[in-house]
Order: sequence, then structure tokens, then C-alpha cells
Amino acid sequence: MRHISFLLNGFFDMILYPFGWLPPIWGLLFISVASGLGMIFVFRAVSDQEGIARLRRRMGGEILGILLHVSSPITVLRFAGRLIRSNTSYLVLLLKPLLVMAVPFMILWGQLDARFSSSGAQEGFQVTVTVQYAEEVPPADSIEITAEGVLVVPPLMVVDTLEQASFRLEERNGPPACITVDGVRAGFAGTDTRSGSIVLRGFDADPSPLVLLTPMVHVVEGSGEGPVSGWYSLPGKDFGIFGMHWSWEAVFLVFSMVAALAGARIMKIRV
Amino acid sequence: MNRRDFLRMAAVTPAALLALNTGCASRTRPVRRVIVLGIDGMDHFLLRSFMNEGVMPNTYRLVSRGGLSRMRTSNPPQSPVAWSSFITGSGPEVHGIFDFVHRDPETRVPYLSTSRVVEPEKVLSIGDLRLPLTGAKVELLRKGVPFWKKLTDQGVPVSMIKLPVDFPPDPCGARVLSGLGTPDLRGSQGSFTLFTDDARSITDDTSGGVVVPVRDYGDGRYNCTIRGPRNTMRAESPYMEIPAEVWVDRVADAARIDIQGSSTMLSAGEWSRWVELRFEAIPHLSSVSGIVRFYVKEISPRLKLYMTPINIDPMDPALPICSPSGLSSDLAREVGRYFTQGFPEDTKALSRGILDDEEYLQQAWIVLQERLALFEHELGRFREGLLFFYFSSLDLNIHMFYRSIDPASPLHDSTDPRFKGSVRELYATIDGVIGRAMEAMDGNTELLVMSDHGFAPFNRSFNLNTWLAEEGYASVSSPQSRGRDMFEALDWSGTAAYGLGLNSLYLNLSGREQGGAVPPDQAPALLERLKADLESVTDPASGRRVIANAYITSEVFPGPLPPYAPDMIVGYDRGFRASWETTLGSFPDEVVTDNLDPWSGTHCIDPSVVPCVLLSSRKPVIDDPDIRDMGRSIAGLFDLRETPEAGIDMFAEGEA
Repeated sequence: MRHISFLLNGFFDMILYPFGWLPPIWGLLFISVASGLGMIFVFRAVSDQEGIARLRRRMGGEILGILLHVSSPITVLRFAGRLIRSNTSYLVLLLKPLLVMAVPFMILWGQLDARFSSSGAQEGFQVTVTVQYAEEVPPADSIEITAEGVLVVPPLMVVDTLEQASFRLEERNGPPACITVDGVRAGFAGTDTRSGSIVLRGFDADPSPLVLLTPMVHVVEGSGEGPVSGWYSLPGKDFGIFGMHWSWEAVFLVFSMVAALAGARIMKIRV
Repeated sequence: MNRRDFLRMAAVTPAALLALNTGCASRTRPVRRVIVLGIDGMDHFLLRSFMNEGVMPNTYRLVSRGGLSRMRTSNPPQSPVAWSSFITGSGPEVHGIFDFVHRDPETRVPYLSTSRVVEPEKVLSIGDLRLPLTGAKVELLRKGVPFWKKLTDQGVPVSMIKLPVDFPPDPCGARVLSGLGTPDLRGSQGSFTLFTDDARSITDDTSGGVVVPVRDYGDGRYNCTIRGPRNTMRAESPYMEIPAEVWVDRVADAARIDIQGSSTMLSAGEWSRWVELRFEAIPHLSSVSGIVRFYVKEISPRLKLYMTPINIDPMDPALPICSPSGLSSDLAREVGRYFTQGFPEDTKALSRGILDDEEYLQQAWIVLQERLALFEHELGRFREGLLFFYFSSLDLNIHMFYRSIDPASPLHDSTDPRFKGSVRELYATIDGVIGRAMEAMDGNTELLVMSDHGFAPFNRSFNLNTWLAEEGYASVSSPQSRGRDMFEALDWSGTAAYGLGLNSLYLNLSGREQGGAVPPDQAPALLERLKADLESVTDPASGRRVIANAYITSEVFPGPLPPYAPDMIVGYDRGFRASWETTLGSFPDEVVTDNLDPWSGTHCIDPSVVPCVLLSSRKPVIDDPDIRDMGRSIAGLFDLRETPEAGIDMFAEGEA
């Protein structure tokens, strides 16, 4: 799984590489448009285009029927019932392409979330790090924390009830940055200066099989005595487009949808 | 050229040159850029003192180049009144702002004079839900036309940053970020919260903020509820709340505040960065954003966690605080989030003892640093036109620390000696701001530094309502209610006058006030008698006169006045001011008492005692400028066809 994760991250790094020196919005826009076009291609390949065309014609007729017989409630109800049936059939036809696209879409979503939802640690700002131990937290003075590229700001506090320890990091030298807590070494925030690179928001020594969907979590080797996971409280990020502030999700959904619809129109794909 | 022509020319040329020269003198040289720094509360006397001491070298340079003038302030010399006069070039009779608070004549209920919320007219009710069909809006109560409208109409770019008395913004084509008068997210002028398990800190007093009792569950966890604004989309508008968990480690003397999936760790004595809060009116559909800073005052033995008032988030403002609408978020992106409330320094927390002097100054320093960052950003992008930038720090901090420079203050000796230089340091910081503005000047730039009023000590409190009762102008029917606010102790049928707000006195006029006792035809004589009596009041402790001038409003301001205007403006003498109890309509036992509140400096007194100042890179040609002249004078510095009509252009020879 780790190798697949490595390959996926590398694949997206490669796609976004040309945009790495531009503001991150350009990389996000490119991915959104490319994804929209990609999805419409996949849709054409796996969907029953004839069936969709047939259904659309039928649904058009049913709507026309409702409009023409608006003075006859019985007939309108009959056409409305048919229309509902046709809609259900349409959803069934969409199921196959949706299933085909579901996993790539979730992977894509995770990648974009990891790369565009946070601007990472900023110089001079302190980030609270919380690490989770599997069992009892060791005494604060025996927890060893070292950091590269970031500064550990004392003190270290222990929350026994939750088996957690917290401390703060301050960005100093810029990426790459990493921390080692009781022998567990993890990347911290942005490990790359280019825009669109992954911003790590935590680490996990025992990740779930869904690790492919969470590239913002650094998969680490557990040390037995050390923490099993940790997370960083990083500030969020949004993008200014047309004078408004968009979350990455909004940018992605709007621009991928526009690209998909435009692609469908140009390539005469029935959706 | 023959001799006759030569002689004719010799005679004409000097006259032509003289005429040209006169023309130049009467029309000031047009400029491309004007920077106006609005320094709230910069005092003429203190400024001169610090300049003479060498604390303000940049200011000294500016004065040497141009001039330093005492400028007449508004009457009363309160910031909302004075800045409204600056904006509109007129007095309260035009802009309609007479005091920080006005009262509804019928109910006598006070309200903020500068803005109000207008509820939506049509609401669709579905069960518990209240869906507005028309938009609620916030209305600016200041009237009149801003002076910069003439500038923007003629193509001059205008930026007014942290502009007072302009919430919601009345942009008239300018970039505007609202300042003084902007509420916090709860709609108040700033309401702090202290979470504590220290029973000694818990009181019912809600002035300026609330103390919320919390308890340790034995595992170092405190459950805190952050109370936000009211949810107008629900029946009975309950408060929107956000749960927060505070974990403390008493060994490390640190706390971790977990809110909405984000953690902030602080040691005792530390201030947090801005923490974002999202209050959901309808989950996933409608929410409002706010920002707060936390301060861990104490962890052991008891938790004392201070939270600033919930500021409107400039990244996603829930109320209109700027124009164009993206300005506040653009600025936040450039310089980071910042205090958006109009009174950012938490003076109430210091007055209530929630923060001590050192903690208050730390918070005030954060405010000032944010403001300096905003100023630096604006200065960096300023290419052409008018840039107005407002600083509140001097005003609010001198309100709180006048006691440190005034040996006559009842609190002078108890003030921590470490902070006795804080006023000087503030003036030095402002001098740095003036220095930065001077660095940004070129041959086509003029710099004006102005204040809205000066400052005076507030050592003795005058209980106006108590005095009115003692002199027979008000009738107290319920002596046990004397200490209660909103005139609970009064018998209105026997009351001729009452005080509300900082300088306002109202007649209980029949036909205007509900249950009014004074027939309108008796009002003029009553006002004359009140004026004479008030101006003869002396302080029993010192024999000093308490009130310098009592102004009959209709005599001071020409034309018809609105019904909410006070009938009299009380101009207190130096050292005196209306008590806090007067502002809320209660009746303490004594007429004049020592002011033991850290709020020890004031300007809400007679305008002649607290003139404002004007520093300018161009020397004014009139000796007694007025704050109402500023707009016309600023516009006159540009080469415009039309300038505002109100006021006098203090830089133009012709107008002098």
C-alpha cells in the first residue's frame, strides 16, 4: 500500500510540477479542468450512450405530454409517473460510470485536499502539535523531541486522560522540516517549497487501508514506545477568484463541472 | 521694440507677474497625494511637551516644515461627534450625532448613536425556523455627505482605512474600512469573556463582558461554552454557541484549547494568535464567522482564561465592515487577521480588573502592531489621491493611563511605576508612524496629522442626576432604587430634567417624552435657569468649578434639531466629567466623588479645554482652524474644479 501511495503522490507531483512556481490556484485550476475532461471521457467510454439518448428522448416526450395535457389531470399524472420511472432508469444507467469513477475520484479528492486545503506553517507562527500514545504517556521530561527546519517551542504538556502530549512548532528555515518524537520521525507541514505540493497535517504509525485517500497523513514507522499518531493544527486556505474567496472544493467542483459540460458539448457526449 | 513699447512692457510685466504671483498665492499648489493620519486623542499640550523633550523628532521635523495648530473640536468633544464633523464638514445639527448614545424620546431607552440593525420585514416561519424573506440590514445613522465624495466624483482615488463613525461604510466611491463604531460579532461595542473556576472572580456584573464559571472534572479538562451572536433564524433568537475543551497541565503550566477540530496551546501568560470560530445558524447551510484571541492569565491553582470580544472575521465578514466588500479579506491576506471592532483595546477588562495594567498593555500592543502592519501595507500601495489612516491606540490607552502622568489622580500613587512611561512610549510610537509617512512623501505629497480632541484628567466624577434631584429638577420616588440604572428611582411626573450619556441633558418635555412634565412654553426659561445653576456648581472638596459651560443646544446649533437631540450639552471643567452612573441614569448618594476607575483621562468635557491638533507639511494660513474645515482643506490641496462647500480651506490665502 505504501508503494502505491508513493506512486500516486509522485504521479500528482509530476502533473503539478509545471505549475510549482506559479500561485497554487493555477495548479488547482489545471487539475480541475483536466479532471472534468477526464471524467467525461470515462463517462463516454463506460456509459450506455444509446440508452441515455433513448431515455432522454423518452423523457422529453413525457415532459411535452405533461405540457400538452395540462388541462387533463389524469393524463398529467400518468405522464408524471412515466417521467419518474424514466428518471429512475436514467439513474441506473449512471450507476456504472459512477462506480467506475468512484475510487479514482476519492483518490483525487484526497490528493487535492492534501495539497490545497492548507497553506502550511508560516514563518513566525506557532503550530500546535498533538501526539497520541497507544497506552500511558511517558513523563514529560522523558519525552524526546527533536526537530529539523522547525523550532520546538517549550513547554511540552501532557494530557493523561487522552494519552496525548502537545507541544508547539515554529517555522524557521522553511521546508523540508521534520520532527522526531520518542524515536518516531515524521514530516511536518510542507516538505516542498513548490505550490501544489503535499502539506502534511499529521502522521500515523498504524494507518488504515484507506491510507491512499489521506496523503496528508505521513505514514511512519512505529517505535514501540513512541506515539502512534499525531496531528498539526494548521491554518486553512482559500483562493481569490472573481473577487470572491473560494475553498479548494468549490474551485474544483465548479471548474471540473464546467469543463465536463463543455467537453460533453464539444464531443457530443450524452450525459 | 521702440522706447515707448519698452516702457509699456516694463510697466506691465511687474504687474502681470504680481497678478500671477497673487494668483499662485491664493491658489495653493495642487498635489498628487495627500496622507492624513487620524490620531484619536492626540493632545496639544502633551504633544508639545514630548516634542520639547525630544521624544518626537519626526513630528518636530514636520512642524518645522509646515505647522502645528490648535484646532477647534466639536461640541461635545466626543469622538463620534468630532469624526462625524470631520467627515461631513458640519456640526451635529447636520450629521445628527450628538453623543455616544442617544435616547428614544418616548421610552427614554438609550441606543448607540452611530448605527442600528434593521430587522427583516418579512420572515417565513417553519416550525422553529425563521427564514428572512427580505434582508436584515445595518443602517448608518450619521447623516450628511462625506467630503471625499467631491474627490471621487472628480476621479481622485480615496482610501479611508479604519474610518471612525462609518459603520456600515458610506463609501461614496472610496475604499473604506470601518473603524470606531464597528461592533463585535455579538453586536456590542466589545464584550470579553473570562472562563474561570475561581469563585472570587465570578460576579453578576456584565458591563463590558462576562465571567463564565467552569469546573475541572478532575482530569485537567474544562468544558467551556463560547457564546456567540443570537440566532435570528430560530424562534426566540437563542444564542449560538460553540463548545470548547480546555485541557490544562499544571506541571507544565500550559493549556490546550480545542475548538472545532483545531488546537491552540498556550503557556500561562501567553496570548494566542487569532482563532477562528464558526457559529452555525442552520447546520451546513448558514453560519457566521468570528475570531478571538485567548490569553491564559492563570492555570494554577485556578484556571483564568480570558477571551477577547468575538471580532467580525475580516476574511469572511458577517456584517458590512468595508467597501468594496472584498477589502477586509484582501487586507487580512496581506497582513494577517486583525481586530475589526471599533474599540479594540479592552479597556473594560482593565476597569473590571479582569486584566491588569501589564496584560492590558500587552493586548493594546497587539492592537497597535496590527494597525502598524495595516498602515505599512496601505502606505506601500498608495500611489495617488487621498489616504486617510486612523489610529485608536493613543485615545484608549491615555483614557486608561492618564493616572500615570497626573499626580493629582487618586490612582496615581497606586499605578505600577513600570508603566508610568507608557503615555510617552505611545507618543514615541506615533512619532515613528509620522516618520514613516514622511519617508513616503515626495514633492507632490502633503501630510496632515490630526486628532479629534485633546485630553484632560478625569479625577472627579459628577453625578448629574443626583445633582438634579438635590436641586429639585428631578424627583426620586424610590430611594432604595437610586443605584439602579435607567431611572428606576425616578418619579417622572415630578421630574423636569434628566442626564443620559456623557454630556447630554434632556428636559422631560411633555408631548415629546412619555409622561413629560415640562410644558414646551416653559422650556426656554427652565433651560436658562438650569444653565445658570449648573455653571455655578462647585466641588465641595476643593471649591473648584465643576462645569465650565452649559450649552443650550438650540442656541449653539442653528436650525431645527431632531427630537433625539439633547436640550443641553454639559461642558465639564478640567478634572471633572459625568460619572459612569450618570451615563446610565442612576442616582448615587453623593454629587461629586473621586474617580477610582483606571479610566482616568477624558475628553468628554468642555470643548475649549480639549482642542484637537493639526500638524501639516503645509502651513495653514488661518490661526484657528476648526475640525469642520478639514474636508474642504484636504480637497483644496488637489487641483479640482469643485471642492466641498462646508468649512474653510485653511491652506488657501483667499479664504483666510
